[in-house]
Amino acid sequence: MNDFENIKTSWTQDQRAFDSETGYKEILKKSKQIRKKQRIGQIVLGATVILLFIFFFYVSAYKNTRAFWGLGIMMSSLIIRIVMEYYSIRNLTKIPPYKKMKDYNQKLINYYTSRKFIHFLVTPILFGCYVFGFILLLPVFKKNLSQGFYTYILWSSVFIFLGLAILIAVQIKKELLILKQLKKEISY
Amino acid sequence: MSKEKHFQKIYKDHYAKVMRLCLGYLNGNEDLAKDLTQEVFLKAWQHLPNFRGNSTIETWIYRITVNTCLQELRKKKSVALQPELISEETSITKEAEIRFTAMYRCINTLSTENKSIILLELEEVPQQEIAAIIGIGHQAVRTRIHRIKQQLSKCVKNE
Repeated sequence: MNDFENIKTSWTQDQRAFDSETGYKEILKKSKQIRKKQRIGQIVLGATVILLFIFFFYVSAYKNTRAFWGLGIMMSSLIIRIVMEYYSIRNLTKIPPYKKMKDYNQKLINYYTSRKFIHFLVTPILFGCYVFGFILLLPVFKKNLSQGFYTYILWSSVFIFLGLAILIAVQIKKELLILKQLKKEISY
Repeated sequence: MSKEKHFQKIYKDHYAKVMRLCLGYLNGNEDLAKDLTQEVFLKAWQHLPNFRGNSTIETWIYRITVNTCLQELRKKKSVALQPELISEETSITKEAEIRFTAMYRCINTLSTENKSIILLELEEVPQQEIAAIIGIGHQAVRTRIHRIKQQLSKCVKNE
């Protein structure tokens, strides 16, 4: 018997007790949970948009031009990005996993390449708009809030924006690594 | 047969095979392999209405397994070899345990495509079917298997 045959024999001898009797029920349960979570996700997304609009009118942002534009730009960029992410993730889950490995990998490459448009163009523009909207609001904050609270908002925002930028960068790096890996695999 | 009954049969018939494949991709890490096997069958259940019968159900399940495992591996930096590779209930000797460890280690030195081909070959999947799972020609699979067998044998011997 040659070495590979030895390996093959070892492989087929691996008869560990894999439970295949009841596990399928777990799958059906998990599938229901996922569908439920997706529905909750849609509700949360819708509720967030509605709440942001209610907040917009609650603080009477439409009465003050600066507050209108500041809050409006911040809200719009946030909503656009959330909706884009939602549909983008949906596109990923729509890729049929039963495709031939080569075809599936090509579809993943197309997906992650299309994500570069979001990462390198849409996200920086929207992030810039978000910060710009916040800067527009600063004089409104200064006028309406105490000096202490204003200073707190100003400094905490610096750290929040910085943290957000790092988080986005890390996520982008992860996806770019997957894309690089996929391209390497397909060119093999 | 109802969809649920059909799925139950698919699950029962293929669970061990899928699990072994996942173990091969995940360096013998049983906990991770279990999670991934569950993920494979979850996708199978969700996409079962799309199964048109253009391929055998086995090929269909193996495609989902290969694609799911590889995508998971891309997300992870590396998967450590599980120390307690063989559970105590199995009466496999220490020597066999060492052989398993060497085997998993050697499989993981292969490129992702070669890894998929050889894992399917170890599962005794016909070469024609391996070609249909990977998406390359039958002849290419045959040549590739010959080369990987030599590579693997050499690696295990040196371990």
